[in-house]
Amino acid sequence: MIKAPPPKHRGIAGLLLLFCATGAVAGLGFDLSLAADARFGGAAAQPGARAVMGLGVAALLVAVAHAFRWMLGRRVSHGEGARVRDNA
Amino acid sequence: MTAEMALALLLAAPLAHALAVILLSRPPGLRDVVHIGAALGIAGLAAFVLNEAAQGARARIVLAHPLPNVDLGFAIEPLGALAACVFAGLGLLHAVHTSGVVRATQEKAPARLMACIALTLAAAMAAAFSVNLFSLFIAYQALILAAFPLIAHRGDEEARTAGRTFLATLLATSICLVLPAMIWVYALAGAQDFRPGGILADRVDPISANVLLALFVFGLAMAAIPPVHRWLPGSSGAPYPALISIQALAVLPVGGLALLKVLAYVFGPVLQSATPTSTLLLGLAGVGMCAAALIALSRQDLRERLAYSCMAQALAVVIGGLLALPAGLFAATLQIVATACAAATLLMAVGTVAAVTGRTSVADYAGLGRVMPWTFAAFALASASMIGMPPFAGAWSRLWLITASTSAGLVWAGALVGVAAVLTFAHLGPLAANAFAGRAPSDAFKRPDGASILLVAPVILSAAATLWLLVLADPLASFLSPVWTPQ
Amino acid sequence: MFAITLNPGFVCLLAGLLVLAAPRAFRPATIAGAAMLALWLMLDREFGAAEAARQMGLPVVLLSLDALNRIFGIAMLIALIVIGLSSGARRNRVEDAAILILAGSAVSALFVGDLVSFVAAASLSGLTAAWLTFCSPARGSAQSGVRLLIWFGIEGLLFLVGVSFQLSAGAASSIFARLDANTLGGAFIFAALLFRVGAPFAHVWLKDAIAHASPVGAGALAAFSTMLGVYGLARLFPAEPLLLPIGMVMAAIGAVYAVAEDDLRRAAASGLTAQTGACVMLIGIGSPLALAAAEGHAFTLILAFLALNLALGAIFGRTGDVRASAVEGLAKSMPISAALLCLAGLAATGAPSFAAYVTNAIALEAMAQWQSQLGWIALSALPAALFVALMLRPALIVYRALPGASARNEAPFPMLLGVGLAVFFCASIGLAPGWLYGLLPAAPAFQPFEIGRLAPYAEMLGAVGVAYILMRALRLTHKEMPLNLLDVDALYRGPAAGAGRWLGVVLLRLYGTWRAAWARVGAYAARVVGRLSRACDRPYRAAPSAAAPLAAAAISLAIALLMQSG
Repeated sequence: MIKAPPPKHRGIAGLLLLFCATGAVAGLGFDLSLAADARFGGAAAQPGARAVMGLGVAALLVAVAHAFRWMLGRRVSHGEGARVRDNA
Repeated sequence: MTAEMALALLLAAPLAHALAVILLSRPPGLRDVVHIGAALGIAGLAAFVLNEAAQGARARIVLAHPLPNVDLGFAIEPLGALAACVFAGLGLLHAVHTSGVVRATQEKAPARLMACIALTLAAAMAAAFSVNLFSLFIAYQALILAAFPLIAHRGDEEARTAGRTFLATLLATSICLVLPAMIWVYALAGAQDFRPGGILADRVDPISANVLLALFVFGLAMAAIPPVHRWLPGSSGAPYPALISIQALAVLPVGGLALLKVLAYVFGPVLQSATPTSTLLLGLAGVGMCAAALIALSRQDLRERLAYSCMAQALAVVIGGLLALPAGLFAATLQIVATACAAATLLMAVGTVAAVTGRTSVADYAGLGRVMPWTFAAFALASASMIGMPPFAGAWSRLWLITASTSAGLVWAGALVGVAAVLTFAHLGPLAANAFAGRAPSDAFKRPDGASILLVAPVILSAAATLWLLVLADPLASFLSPVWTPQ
Repeated sequence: MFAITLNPGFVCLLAGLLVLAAPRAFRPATIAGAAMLALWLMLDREFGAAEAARQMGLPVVLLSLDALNRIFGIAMLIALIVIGLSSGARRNRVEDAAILILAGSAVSALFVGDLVSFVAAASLSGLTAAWLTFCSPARGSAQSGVRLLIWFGIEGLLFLVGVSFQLSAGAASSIFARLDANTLGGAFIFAALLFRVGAPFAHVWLKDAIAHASPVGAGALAAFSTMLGVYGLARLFPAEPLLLPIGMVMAAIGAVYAVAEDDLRRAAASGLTAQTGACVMLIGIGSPLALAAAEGHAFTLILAFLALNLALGAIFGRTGDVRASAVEGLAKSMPISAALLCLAGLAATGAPSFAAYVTNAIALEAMAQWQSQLGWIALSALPAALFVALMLRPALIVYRALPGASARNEAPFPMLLGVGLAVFFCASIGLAPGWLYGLLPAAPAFQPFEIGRLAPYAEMLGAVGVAYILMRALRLTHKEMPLNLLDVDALYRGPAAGAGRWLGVVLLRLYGTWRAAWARVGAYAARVVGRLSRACDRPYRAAPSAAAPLAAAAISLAIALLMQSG
């Protein structure tokens, strides 16, 4: 008998991607099917616009996070944040 | 016991206290028992007199009759009774603390120190119960002479210089400014009695009122108004028990009280006709308050820092009195009471720390709160009250000061009070916080047994008095209402 | 019939003093019991104000219950019950007392009916928050406590000055009523409340305090500090136009910092700032539906961010570090904590089936009715941003596949219980929101799960999730490394503090020059007076030259007298 290989350690990225994709597709589907309803919000409330908004938010967040960390980030040693108070 | 008898005993008891301490100065235990016992008796008498005042008793005793309509006399009235009760009550805690400090620091001539403290209390009581300007003047001079040995107690060159400055400033201003003003008042009113509504009402023209106001405000240099305030920071080299008498329980509060009595009982509504001078003096007091708080920030020695801090608080009393409104007078009275409690707590705490650890500098206080938590908890409470942070007692006097300033149309005066509060926060807040935030020193105590109960208990009880004022503010307002109600 | 008119917050204040003496085993029960008693006192009472007492001539109303403060009170007291349950893992009685006094003063401030009492209670809560930070075992907590004390000290003084100016208009003006931010008193009180909610330039205190707080202390700070400010704004400044742009900026700043921060507790605090900004925007609109949305949203945020902070606190308590760069692969050693962290992140984001979603739905409706397109876009985009910052990113980090085995080192059970309970509340309200809607002042007949609302929301969250995960897989996102992000407090501590010190030195030099000048003048005057007095103080000596004028004067006088008599 060949011993079964040990199970691979997987992250959660795939699972999360699956859930997000399911939510996006389902939401988009229903959104498009309700296209006839009047909505407030101008262009941002049009069918499918929320998906575009989501993509835009993700891109903007990543870009701004990069910018903030580059401009305002200061490297620290890994010992900071440890629990034991040095003035006890 | 009748009210007259209680008043007479209350005025005489501190004198007997001083004599007893001198006569029974050995052994030290007996001296301390006499000192504390006498303070306890005086506090009890003061509470009795306060109760009589609350019941409406207006007892009066006359010791001499030097001029027509001018007595050397003393009477029970709400403002004086309240001040006397505060001085005596805190004086009891001070007596216990003094006994602890002189033992811990091996202070020289402790009996003389205690006797002079008792004499200053006697003079403060006399000023509180003074029935007219003449009696107030006599008590004021007695206080100057009784406090001088406290300032010069250490006997070194610095102490002698400080004593000379104290004596020269206060005697010169009182004799050269207050005395002529008193004579002028007598000439205008034919009397000098203190009366709610003012004895100068309808008797003085605006120009004379302006001049009289300036004479009294600068003459009563114990109120520490610039430029006659130099004696106060100079006195900061005195021993801690003496400092408490000078800055918290006798000299500085009596300056504010005396000014308040003059403004309320001599000027009354006439103060509104002295507008140019009162406005200038308000500005001077307001700027002086901010400057004193700012200078305190630069001082590293705790005694000097607290001296300037107390000066800023004292000037708040001057502002309240000069506003010529009942709310201002109430704010000033509340400020005297709140500052006495807070300043006594702070000075006793600083004295305890100095006695037990030898530390007197701001930088040395970091982390001390971890090894002396009770002392510094009291220090923190008293600091919060001095700053005027809600919900502590000092906040309510600030509240009424700013309200009264705004009601009088002097928003800038209220703004100065606010700025001074922020500056006071700057020089006391981080100090109290860093005492707990810093690393605990490993070699804090000079003595292996730390601080004795005689040193710590009075600090805690005094801080508790600061908290108790929260609930007493309303009864105080009712009790003091006759002060600004013309009869 | 004996009617209890005790302010519910006072029960917690008294319990805070009791807990200092209580044995360790009784302390969690004391905290939870005090909260339940306070809750009962509140729910047992009808709406209305207790009789006003007079304090220094001012009307003081210690208890005034209405729909607005009831909803905040219920949320805070439920949060206190959860904190009580979580406290079983802690040994620090002083911290327990601090938490109770913080909660008690916050709840007291909710239920008083006049400005003076509100200021007193709010200031006490601020001071206690600083004390709570001092109690933390985290490194740098003491310095953080000092900074927090400065923030709340300034806030207290602003309140004091504002109330003073307000009182100058008359004693009755201390009773709660809408204030005008254009008056002096109103402006100071408005500024103080903006400090409290964490408005731009004052938003740094919250993340500084939470980052240095203890595991449970962070949850208490999140639940009882900023939301009191939201209540204050809703009570005193509804429909204040300035609040709309302020809220938008808070939402933007909070969202960006939440995704960029390395320290996950700071990220959570920034997320709270962003969501508080949403509440502030709604208060700025001020319509009945918007105010109801703000109040409901505050309710859900109290519970959601309590859960999130407790979850992060559980990890912090066990590992000593919650930096993103330090907790990679944590799920192996702390699987339950990791799972609860993800659920708490979903709750804080406002994912469908959690409480914040149902209140966000009302908020969008209120914004739509107000016809504010920019506000509507901001409110729509905020959940997407927080979904990335508070759920996706932490989940991807803690569940990252790392080689090797890790021993199980799960958080203490009381902490897990607390987080679980908070998440349960969020989920139960999210699934059955009718109970919450019934508490709102303008109880909307609302269907949050109507497909026309749910579909676009899910579409947006799904799209942002897909985009972010793909960008992360393609290594387009930032690398997790130990990093501190600067904020405006670097300005305060650096250039501003330096400028203040410089100004102080200059003023002191001027003062010293002034004193030296006066000393010179005084010395000169003393010399002149001394010379004069010495000149007068000579012993009398009759000099010969002096005799002649005297003799002449005497002779003249004699002649004059003789002539007179003659």
